[in-house]
Amino acid sequence: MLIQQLANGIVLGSTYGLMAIGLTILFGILNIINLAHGEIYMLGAFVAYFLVVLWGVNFFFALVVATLAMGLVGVVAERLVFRPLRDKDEINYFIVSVGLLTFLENLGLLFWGPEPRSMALPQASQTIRIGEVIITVQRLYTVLIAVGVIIGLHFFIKHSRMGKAMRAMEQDREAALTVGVEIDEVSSFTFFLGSALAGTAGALMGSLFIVNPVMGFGPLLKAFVIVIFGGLGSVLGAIVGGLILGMTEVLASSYISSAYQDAFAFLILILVLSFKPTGLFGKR
Amino acid sequence: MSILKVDNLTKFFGGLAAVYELSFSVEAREILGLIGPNGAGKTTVFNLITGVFAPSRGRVVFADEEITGQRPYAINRKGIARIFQATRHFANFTVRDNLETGRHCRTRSGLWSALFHTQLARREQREGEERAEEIMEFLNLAGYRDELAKNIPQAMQRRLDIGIALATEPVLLLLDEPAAGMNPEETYQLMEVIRRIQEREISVFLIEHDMQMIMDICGRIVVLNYGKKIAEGAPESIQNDPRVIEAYLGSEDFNRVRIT
Amino acid sequence: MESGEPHMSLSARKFCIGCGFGVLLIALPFLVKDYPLHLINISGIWIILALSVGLLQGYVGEISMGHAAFYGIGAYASVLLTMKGGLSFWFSLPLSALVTTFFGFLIGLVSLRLRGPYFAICTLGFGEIIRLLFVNWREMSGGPDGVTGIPAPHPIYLPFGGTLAFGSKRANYYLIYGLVALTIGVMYRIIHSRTGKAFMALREDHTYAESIGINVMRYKRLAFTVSTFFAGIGGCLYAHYEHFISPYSFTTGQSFDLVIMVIVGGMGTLIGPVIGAILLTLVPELLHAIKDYRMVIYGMMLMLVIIYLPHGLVGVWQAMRNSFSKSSRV
Repeated sequence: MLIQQLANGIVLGSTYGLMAIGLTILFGILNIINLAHGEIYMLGAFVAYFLVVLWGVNFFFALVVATLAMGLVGVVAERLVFRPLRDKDEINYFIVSVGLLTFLENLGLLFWGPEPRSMALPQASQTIRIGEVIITVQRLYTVLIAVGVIIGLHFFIKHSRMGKAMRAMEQDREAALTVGVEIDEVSSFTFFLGSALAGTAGALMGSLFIVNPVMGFGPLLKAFVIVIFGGLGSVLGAIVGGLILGMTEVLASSYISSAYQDAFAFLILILVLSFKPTGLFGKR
Repeated sequence: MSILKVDNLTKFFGGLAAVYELSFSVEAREILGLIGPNGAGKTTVFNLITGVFAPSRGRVVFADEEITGQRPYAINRKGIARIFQATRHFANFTVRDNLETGRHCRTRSGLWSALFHTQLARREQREGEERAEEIMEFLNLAGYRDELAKNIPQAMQRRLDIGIALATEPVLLLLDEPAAGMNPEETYQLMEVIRRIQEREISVFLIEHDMQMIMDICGRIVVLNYGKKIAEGAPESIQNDPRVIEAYLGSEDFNRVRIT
Repeated sequence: MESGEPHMSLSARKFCIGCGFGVLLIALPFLVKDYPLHLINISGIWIILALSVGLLQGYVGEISMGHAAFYGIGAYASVLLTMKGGLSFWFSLPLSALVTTFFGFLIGLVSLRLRGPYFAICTLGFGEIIRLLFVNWREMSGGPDGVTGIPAPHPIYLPFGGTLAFGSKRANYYLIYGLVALTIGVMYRIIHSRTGKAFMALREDHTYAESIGINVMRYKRLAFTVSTFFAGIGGCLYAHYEHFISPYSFTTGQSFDLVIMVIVGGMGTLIGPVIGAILLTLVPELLHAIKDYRMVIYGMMLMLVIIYLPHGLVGVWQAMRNSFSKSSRV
């Protein structure tokens, strides 16, 4: 029983982790706290939903499209909303992201209404058995995809030109500028990457559970808990934190009433903020 | 009689000792200089005295009272004021508002007085305005009274920093490179200001790279290198101290002054 | 003075305008119809709430993203005091404000150790926790269905006979705007005092403020306490005016609304939150067509204001004034 729950926790944790990585790289590299991250997650879910349900597209293809589309949305958001605030105090990024969140969430409600929708994928009901654990095929795919994305991300950041530029900016912005790193390029790409990850997470979660315009806020706050717990700017912290939160959530739901489950996450957030604001692996 | 005593003061950042087993004292009504090559730990000493950091080891005693590790606002209230290495004040306040805000810790009126506009509030307001005028006269800032602090010339902004520190009515004033970026004329005027501050029975503890200024106005000097005190004494003895010379070897600041 | 100068001096003219405005405000309930008066009353409550957020945000520089929880506490406290405790509204008003202040103080103890976005997220977390308590703690709040039948403020019996009843919108106008005037008066006094200077010093540079003897934590707590006090007043008024409350009235969405009101109106001023509250309450109601788009427009407005008009509408007005006075000097 326990191992079954842990398995479910890992499934949840992998999507939380993807989302948290997206959030944490925005902070680590650009010093931007983006509260609208959850709305991009939501839009990613909707893109995948419409492709699958309205046009009968294969889920994996829909996933790729959702990822790329959200990456693009991120680039547009960076250009129009965040870049104009570059020379101002950092709190402005935070406030503008609240505006973006409000805008996107309510736009979604306006267009699509609050009713939950389901992708109703066949893989979501087929189960397979791995040892003692019974898991749906879709959940298995989710974990595999998340792992694949993270590995791909790791190689990208380590070896590509852009990855090196991103790491340079994260370590020392001034020095990065002097050696010729282009802020605009790195900003755009970081937003592309972060938003693409949110889109992937959204499409995956949407395939496992439901899709509706208000689905983004809860995961956003959880991503925050993870990022702050694991350390702002730390990708490893985001992954570890994501897994831990996923597993604790599943375990806690057996012991704590579901009504207060979200409150539990907030409590952890507040405790971490109070005692170790830099988080487990963070440096700020 | 010493008003400030620093005893075995030590501060580690990670594994690095920024300040190591530092002991010295500041005498009443003296101008004490603190010099040393860049990175010697001078600003850290100021930060330890004013409570920005708590020391890893050692004590700070002010007017016979131990103030080690207390919060900056409490230490300021006890009578130690400082200016920062970079010009720092309330940029969007007027010069006058900056000075009136500086007097905060010497006044008491709180929420009740604010809400009911009590006599106490009105009196303190009036006194604050008078005091601000007085400081502006003293520092020749009266012409900039209603200007926003960010809009006045740099040298005047530095004076404003000193003025705000004076508004807190200190017994000991810590000046961190007050002459930075000033031309010789402005530096000379600054030296006059510091001497006048000393005449008001305020002790001054001064960090500076301008050796001319240090040798001219300081009664004694403490020399720091890599966080440790390497010399202490009157300007003449410091100038000729071989350890000091070695620490500054090749440094233009020091050699220039020695030749004069 | 030049020849051809105006008939009255500038200050006399201002006084007359002020008086005229005052008379208008007092006579207003008799000049407008029922529904507009209702909107005006609701705006008044939002003005008080926006001012409570605005004090913290504009003068101390900290953004609270969970303030809806505080006026929720004020509302539920007053409901419990009047409906279960049998107290008169006139006692429960200050008491529920004090209850709110108490919780504000406790939450402040934890949150105020953080700054900027971390403080904001912490308050958001608290706001959500409290909202969940409103939803799930049925014995206290009546659960997600909320509480109906909340009484209007109880009638006051005058010593020389007659009663002041508060069943009508007109009577509530005077109550609400009386409290608006009180709120503005109190905040004005605070801002123009030594305490207010300390607040603004915190907003400008809190480390420097501490170095000149200002006890930063103490003043942050004070601002937070005053802010939550007025949020409690607003919550109590809200409950007894709408006669119905539910956890859906006190969500993060409403907290965001308040932040938007303050920023769009103009941070760092008293008039800014007033304008923001009036604008964001009245305009969507008056323009029925855009009612569904309200939140979408709010989000857009917040983004545009932050990027292009950082001082809000008050800033725009000030900029216009400056350019006019410049041109008249020529």
